[in-house]
Order: sequence, then C-alpha cells, then structure tokens
Amino acid sequence: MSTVDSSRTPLVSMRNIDVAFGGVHAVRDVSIDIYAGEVLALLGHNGAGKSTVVSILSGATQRDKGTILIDGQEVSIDSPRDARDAGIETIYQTLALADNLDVPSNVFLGRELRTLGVFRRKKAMMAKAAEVLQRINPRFKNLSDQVRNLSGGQRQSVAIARAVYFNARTIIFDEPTAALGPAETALFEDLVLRLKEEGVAILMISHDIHEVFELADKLVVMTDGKVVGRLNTHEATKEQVLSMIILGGADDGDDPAAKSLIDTIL
Amino acid sequence: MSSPSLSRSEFFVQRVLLGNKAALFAVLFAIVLAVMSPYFLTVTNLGSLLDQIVVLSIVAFGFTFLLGAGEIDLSITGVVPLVGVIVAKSMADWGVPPWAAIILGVVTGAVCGLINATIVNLFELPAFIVTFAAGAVFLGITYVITELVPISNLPAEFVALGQGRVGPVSIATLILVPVLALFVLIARSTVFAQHLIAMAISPQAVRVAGVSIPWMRVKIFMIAGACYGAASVLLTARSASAQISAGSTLLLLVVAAVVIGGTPLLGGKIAMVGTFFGCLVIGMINNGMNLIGVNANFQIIVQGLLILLALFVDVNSTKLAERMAKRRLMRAREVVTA
Repeated sequence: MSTVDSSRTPLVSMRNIDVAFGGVHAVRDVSIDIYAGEVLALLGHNGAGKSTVVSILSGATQRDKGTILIDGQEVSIDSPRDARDAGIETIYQTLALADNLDVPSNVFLGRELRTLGVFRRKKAMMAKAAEVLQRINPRFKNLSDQVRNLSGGQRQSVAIARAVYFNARTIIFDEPTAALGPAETALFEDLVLRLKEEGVAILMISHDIHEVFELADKLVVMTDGKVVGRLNTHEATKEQVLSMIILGGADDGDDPAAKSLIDTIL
Repeated sequence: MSSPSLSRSEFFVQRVLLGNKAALFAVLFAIVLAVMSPYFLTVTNLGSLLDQIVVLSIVAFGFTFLLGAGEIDLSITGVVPLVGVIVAKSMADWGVPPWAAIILGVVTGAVCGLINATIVNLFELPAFIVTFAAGAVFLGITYVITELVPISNLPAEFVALGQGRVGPVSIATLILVPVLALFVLIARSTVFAQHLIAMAISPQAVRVAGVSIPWMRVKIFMIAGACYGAASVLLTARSASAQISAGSTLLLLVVAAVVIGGTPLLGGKIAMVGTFFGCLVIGMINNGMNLIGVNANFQIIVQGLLILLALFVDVNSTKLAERMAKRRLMRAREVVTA
C-alpha cells in the first residue's frame, strides 16, 4: 500500500485543533493530515473526541484554536456550507436526510437546480440523481419514494450521492456501516475503494476494527481528546491498535486485564 | 415511478379518496345540502357561498405554509383587527388613498409576522407561546387606537372592493382565483416549499444542508402575516367598517380548514388545493345552516361539533392511509427477499 511521500502536500491538514465545551476539554492540540486517494480512520473510545474532530472539519462545530489547510492553503470553515465550498462532504451517522422528501430532493437539498432562482428543476434533478445513484448502487430504482421508506443501505446511498454529485474531494464517513447488513456493507466497501481510486481523500470514524483494517491506509487513535497513536495499517496489528484504544498509549499490552479484553474482542 | 405498484382499488381509496378528503367532504356536504334545500344549488347561493369564504381562504393559504413547516401562529386574532383599524383609520382620518391603504394593510400584516418570527428566533421560544402573547398585544393596540369604537366612513371605491359584483360573482371571489393559483404554484414548484416541509420533519438535515431555519421562519411568518393583512383589508371593505371584533372566530376556522384540507397539524406536507376545499367545507357548514334555518345561537355549537367530526375522520383516515402504505411496503420487501 501507499507509503507517505513527505514531499506531497496533504489535501486536508488540520493543525493544532483545540476545542472545549464549557469545562470539558474535548479536543487537545490535534493535528491530522489526509492525502488524496487515502483512507484515514479515526479510532477511540466513545468520548475520545473523534466526533468532535470530524464535526469541526464538516463545519458543524466551531474550534477554539488551530487552522485547517486545503492544498496547503489556509481556509476558514465556520459552517457546513463553508466545508462544502472547500470540497468537504460529510456522511453523518444519522445520514441527515429529509425523511419526507424524495430521493432527488435529498441529493440536492440546499443546492437545488433552479429556474428563475426559485423554481425546482424537478426533471433535471431526477435525471442527475438517477445517474449518480446508478454509479453508487445499481439496484436503486425507486427514486420518487420518500426516503423514509427506503432501506438503510439505500438511505446511505442517497447521502453518498450528494457527495459524489458535487465532486467532493474529501469525504467524511461517521460510522458508515453501523446500520448496514452484510450485503450493504460489502457494497459500501467496494464504493470506498472506487472513491480512493478517483483520488478522493476519506476520513472515517468506525468502531469496527476489522473493517478499519480492511479499508484504511492510516490509523489515528485518540484518547481523552488527544492523539495517542498514528500507524500505517499495513505495519500495524489489531492487538496493537486495540491496546492503544484501551490503554491510551503505545503500551505493548502488558496489562493482563487489557490483554484478556483484547483477546475477547478479537 | 413509485416502485411497488398499487392495485386499482388501493389506488382509488388511497390516492383519490384519502388524498382529497376535503374535496370528498365538500361533495358529500353539497349532496346533503342539495337534497335538504332546493335553494342550495342556485347560482346566487353558490356565488354567495364562494364570496363568504374568500377572507377565510386567503388567511388559510398563508396558514397552510405555517402548519406545513410545523410552525403555528395564534396571533391572527390580533393581527386581523389591528390591520383593519389601521387601514380604515388611514383612509378615514389621515386621507390616505385606498390603493396605498391596501398596501399599508398587507405590509402591516407582514411586519406582525416579522415581529413574531424574530422573537421566536432570538429567544428560542416556542411559536405557540410567542404568537399567543403577541396576538394579545396586537389586539390591545387595536383597542387603544379605536377606544373600542368601530371606524366607518370609508371611501366608496374601497368598499366596492368588498361588496362589488360582476354578475353573481363578487369581485373578492375573482381576486381569490389568481391568489389560489399563486399559492399552489409556490407550494408545488419552489425550492422554498421543499425546505419548508423538510424543516418540519428533519430540521437537522435542513440545517446541515446549509439552509437557515431562522430565515425560513421569517419568510413563512411574513407570508402568513401578509395573507392576514390582505384578508383583513377585504373584510374591512366587505363590512364597510373596521370592527374590533373582526377575526375573533377566524383562528379556529382556519386551523380546521387547513387540517381538513390534508395539511397535518405537525407539518411535513402542504395541501394547498386541499386547503381551498377545507374552506369550502367550512363555508358550506355555515351556508347550509342558514339555508335550513338553524338558529344563529346554535350555529356556533354545530360548527364546533362538525369541525371535531371532520378532524376525527381526518386523523383516522390518515392512520388508514399509513397502514395501507406500510402493508404495501412490507409486501414489496417480501418480493425483494423472495
């Protein structure tokens, strides 16, 4: 797999990010680089700060300190719209779909194709949505249904179609397969590989260590708001990563309690 | 395009009957009334029936957007008399020409909406409470301005707007047609209407899509307010005076008309044509009771009971439609897995 070429500029670079909510220091001095065509997985306990880091990059949470660079240029990301303008699309765990709208209306939500500034170009949006979804999930046909009537995998396809249609350069996946069945998960993994080939940078949060090893090129482990480990997936073992998550550092798993826990998980 | 296709009988029940409940009610009422009174189907009576629902309809069109967005506005009872008084006073006491007074009325209504939406947005209070209180304030201002005396002596050309006729059809009814067409167009074809129904069900999705919900709320409340203003102008012209009691029964009737029309109380859907039929049903209830000669004191009771009945049927038929949809979906899943 790819080794880091230090001469390359990362597509997205988060530098020294710091956030506190009231008295809780949720993220402390976190720096993450994501390169085009690479999948980076963010791991850690619940409450380790992964979701906060991701939500800063998607513009949903304001950071207190730190900078974000795209192609080495500093950008200001203060709202979801700013993030999209910077080519960053987020697939939320909840998928953020408008349940009572049909598929094209969801794909284009907030960025509708219009005539005269106010009217929806229904047919055009239907055609474009069908085209994009054909690439993501070829079995997807019922585009005029309200998305509340779709299966988990189809709903995810709709959320991903947004990112693909608007030519995202960076895609954030928050727990992408948590709600999917085996067939849908396979479809998703296949899609991630295709996006990688197209040079999309992918940032992913996942609890599924096996999936992470399957998909990610790099792993960043967080504990208590800090980065406690960075690994290339092909050099790492699952035991090593789990012990980092559990013990919060680069211990070798000497703690017998942790060791038995790890054995149970694997 | 809809995936698992409906059988013909299901299509009929679900899309035609349940999808147009208000139209169905209207037809049923019309049959009953035609049987009970030979006068009901005369041109004169139908003309006056339409004329009587113009004010209600215009308020209801704006209110449909509010309910569709999951919002509510109880300030109608204050905005309608306030606008009427301002419009009447501007012509009678300040010499403002009628056309300018009409614009003033619509703008005043919209400003009331702006005030409501701004308070809801700034203090993050429920619209239910804010508009309830604001309605009392608007009504209080009306009392202060008028000292409880109705304002009359309005210019003849202004009164003609409310009382004039072209054959059996009133000028007000003629105004209703393009207004309905405009609102149906907005409801069916604009991005605004899509965001509006989405924010009732999935506000978080709308927010992360970069659509400002506070700004949507301002637009929705201002459109509704402008509708109350326009309706109040017509009401003032019809009665040739501004009454401080104007609009006191309007709120109940509007909510009933919109819900009977098929826009759910909690939003997520806009049924603009349904709202018109809902208004027609309400109008027919009143018209029918007059024709049959129900004592005016009983009419309000009958009105209340019929609205309850209509809402009951509405809620239960909605549940029926949902059950049918669910069954259809489950069958479709079975087909896929088989």
